[in-house]
Amino acid sequence: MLVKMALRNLTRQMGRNVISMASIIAGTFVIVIGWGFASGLDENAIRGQIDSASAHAMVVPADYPESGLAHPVDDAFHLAESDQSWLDTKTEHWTARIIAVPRVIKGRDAMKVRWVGAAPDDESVFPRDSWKIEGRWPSDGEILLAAKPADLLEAGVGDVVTVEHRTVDGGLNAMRFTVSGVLRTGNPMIDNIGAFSTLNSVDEFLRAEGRVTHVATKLADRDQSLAFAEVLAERFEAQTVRTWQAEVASWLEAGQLRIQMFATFGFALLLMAATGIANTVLMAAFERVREIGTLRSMGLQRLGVVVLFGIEGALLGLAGGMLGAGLAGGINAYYSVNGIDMTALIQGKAEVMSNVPIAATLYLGSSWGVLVVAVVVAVVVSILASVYPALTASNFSPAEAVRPA
Amino acid sequence: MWFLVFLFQVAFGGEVPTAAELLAAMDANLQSSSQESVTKMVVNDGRRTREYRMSVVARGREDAAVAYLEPARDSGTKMLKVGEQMWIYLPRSERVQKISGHMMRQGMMGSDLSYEDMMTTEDFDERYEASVVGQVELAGRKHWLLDANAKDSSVTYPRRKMWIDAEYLIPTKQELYAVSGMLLKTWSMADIREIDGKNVPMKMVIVDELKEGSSTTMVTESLKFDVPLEGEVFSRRWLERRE
Amino acid sequence: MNHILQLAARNARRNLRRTLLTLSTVMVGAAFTLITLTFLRGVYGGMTADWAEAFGPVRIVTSEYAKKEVLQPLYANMDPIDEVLNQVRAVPEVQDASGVIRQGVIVTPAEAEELGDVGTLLLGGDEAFFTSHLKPGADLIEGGWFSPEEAGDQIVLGRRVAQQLGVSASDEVVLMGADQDGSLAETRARVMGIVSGNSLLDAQSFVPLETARYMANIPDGGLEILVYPVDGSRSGVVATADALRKTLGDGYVIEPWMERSLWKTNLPIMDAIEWVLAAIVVFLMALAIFNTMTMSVLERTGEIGVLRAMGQKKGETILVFLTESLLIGLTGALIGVLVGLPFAYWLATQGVTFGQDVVDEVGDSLPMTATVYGNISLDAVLIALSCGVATALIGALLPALRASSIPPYEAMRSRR
Repeated sequence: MLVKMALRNLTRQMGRNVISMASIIAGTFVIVIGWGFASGLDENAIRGQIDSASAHAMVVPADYPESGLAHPVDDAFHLAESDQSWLDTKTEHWTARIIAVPRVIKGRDAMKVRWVGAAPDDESVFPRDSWKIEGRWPSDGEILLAAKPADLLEAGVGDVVTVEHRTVDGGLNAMRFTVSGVLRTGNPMIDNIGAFSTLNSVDEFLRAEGRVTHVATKLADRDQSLAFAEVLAERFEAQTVRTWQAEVASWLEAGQLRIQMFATFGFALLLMAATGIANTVLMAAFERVREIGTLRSMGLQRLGVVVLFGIEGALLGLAGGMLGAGLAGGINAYYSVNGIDMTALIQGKAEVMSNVPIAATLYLGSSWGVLVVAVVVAVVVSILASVYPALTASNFSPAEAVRPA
Repeated sequence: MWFLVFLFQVAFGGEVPTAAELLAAMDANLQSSSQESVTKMVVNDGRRTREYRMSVVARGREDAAVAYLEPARDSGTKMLKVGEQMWIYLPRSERVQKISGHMMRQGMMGSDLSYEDMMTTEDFDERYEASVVGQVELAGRKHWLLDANAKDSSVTYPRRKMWIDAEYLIPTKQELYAVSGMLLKTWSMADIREIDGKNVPMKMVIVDELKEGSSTTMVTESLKFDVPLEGEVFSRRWLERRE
Repeated sequence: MNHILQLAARNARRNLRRTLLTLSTVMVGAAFTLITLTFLRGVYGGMTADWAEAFGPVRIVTSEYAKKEVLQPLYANMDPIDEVLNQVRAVPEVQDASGVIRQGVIVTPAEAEELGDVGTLLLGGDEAFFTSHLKPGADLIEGGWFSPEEAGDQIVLGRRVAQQLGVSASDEVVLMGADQDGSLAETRARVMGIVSGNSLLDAQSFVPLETARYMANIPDGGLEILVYPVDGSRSGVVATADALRKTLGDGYVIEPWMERSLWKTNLPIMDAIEWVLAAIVVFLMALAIFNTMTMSVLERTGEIGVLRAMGQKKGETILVFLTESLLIGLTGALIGVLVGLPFAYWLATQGVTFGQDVVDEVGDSLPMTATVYGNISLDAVLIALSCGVATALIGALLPALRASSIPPYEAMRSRR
């Protein structure tokens, strides 16, 4: 009976309720979108790391340096055919790389770059949809230079550079490579010191004879990586296995400050939104003092009035919350799949965030949990805001309440 | 540096030597000799030129002690090579530093001569499979052309070509090649004079062929053979001694 | 006009409860705006000020150095530097200028057997630079600064460097680096003191210019000239840079700190964050006011009808509503600023402590301090106030238009 009455009240005061709901919608919308961006930024960093460097799980030589520009090739390892077919069955995609840090020389200028020998299927693990290549991906005997090295060496497409490094055994080697293109990814870790050639070319240069330094795997779900790492470690006993979680851990830790800031602002905005919701619902309730009187005079108990208003508030909060959260959730979900292109924002400004693996596309976070929380917050605030005036209002004697205002 | 030069100094007759003979003679040559010299090193990195002067005392080709005299900022810096090991004394830090690992690959005083270049002159015949390719003319003089290929793929320079002056038996030119066959460095020796009855090149030029304009020149200003050596010279105590 | 003001005031007073609620929303909004801006400006302002102080509000380097900066090309220096420095100092916009040398070195405790792998940015500057620009932002946590009595080389270490090395004041360290020709440069220095300030400072080490000159082998020169203008504001810095460009001509790259690569992108992002936050706050406040005013219109349809029937003009009706909300907005914003100010003041004096761990994690690209202080500025107060007023007007406009368009007869009829 009370629910029915509440519903009737809601439909009767359509105009006012729409306005109240607008507040609730706006509040929940801000909360959900805000969360989407905040978690999207973290997600962005994680994806950037996975897509450009760490994949889901990786096999590297034992005692391989964890960070910095050190990429020794001395302990490059062979990938047996049985291992290859094993990887085929156990992973969604996998690829092998050999990475070295040679001196690249052109004329009087020389600089060290992180030179990746990438297999033809490299893209299946390290996607490069958002990369911008002036020129093209290298064929054998060619090198793709990242923007900064290309700039410093004054090397453009078609120029010839000399690469110097030791072979896996230790003998000095030097070879000329034609620059096939200049690469801009928006990821400073690549743009500042990266260079790419085919796995064949680098293998030949280093006389690696099939040995590689990285076996990178991509799984159906990245959360499987920790479990899969154990399986990998069993298979590749002589090597070390790294997961993306380990690689991003330090960065996420460094994000402490950012998370604190977001939490502070998020809370403040929530407070604003809650004030808005409470304001509207309170106002609506106060204006109905007379109505309450009528109800009381009709024999409705105090508790009944409170419950009636509570239900009304709950319905209002639920509808508004669901609308707001649904709308924002929809936007989050859309951009969590399609991403927002930030290339324009970060292009050419790579050195700024040199220790942050930023991907060029920002994918917003999207989760049912947040939607539920936002709706619950909306409902609770709405109920609280409705019940309080109902309590004070129900104190009026019926006679006083019905007296014409 | 002197042990680089003397490595290749041999005393041959007129007949065509085999590579093994040539190398064995080279190997044997400096065993008993000792020498003292003052050398000027001019480093040109394509941007600017720097000059260093150093005194070198060597015993055979195993041991060498180098003390920098100029410029002032480097005077007091000393280097000691005993057999397979090498140390450097840093006067301002008052510190002896063993040179090992990737430090070996760095250019000495920013020059084109790496610490390792000084080391790998050891055991040449053990590291390389060499053959005399023929006789060629170089700068109007007869030379034996020696082609040496590393026996092991871990050797820094996989292939060397040497032009050995048939009369002086000095490698007036040497080319160092990469695994790919690309020319990495050229060492050449010139200004050959007779000192204490030996033919000695007074000038040596090392050119980094990969980087434009980069070269290092060493000029010997004075040289004496068979000098009496202080026992202390090839010791850590000498390194740390302040002069 | 007076009559409209009276009407508006009476309206606002009559439904006091509703007015108070709206007022509270505007108040919270204004207070939030003020506090947020104070905090943001404190964070950004603190960071930018610390950064500019250490890296120069205006920096002069050679074109070659600017181009290859990531490679730290010590050879692209200014040697001798005194003539350029005098030219710079003669520019009226310039308060003072210092030549400095920054280079990466490896530090090892003197007694350690093996060379370590602790790297630090070694900053060498003249006395004026340290006295006027570095010391004010650095807390000595151990020992002191350089002393004329000490014989050999002296060094002051950043907190993190000292921590990594495990050394304390009066210990000795060995510095290893490469000079401008790539030749080994080394020295031994006494640790005079250990300083802490922000994450940037904590990861650096400081030596007198002479020591840096020796390490880089730049006998009479410097790598950068840091210029401190008389007017340190953004516009003052830009004007100084322009004046310097005219004086020095080609061969130099002269940049105000805002144009240095770090800030070139971060500043617009920071400004954007400020605007987005302000926009969200304004939006929420406007919504609340819109609610109140719409309800007010709905509820007073009858009254409006009477007024209209009594001959009140359309424009007047609009004006009454706008004035009412303006009153509410202005009062709310004023109270909000008054409520926000103590918090802002607290932020500015007590600050928010993030702790040393966070500072260490931020690394050495931005000068993050353990405690971030807010910065109360007049324009933050003005922005908060105008946000309140602006939203009041925006939020009331639609309902006011709606009220004015109610025909008198309908309004009369709907009266309950």
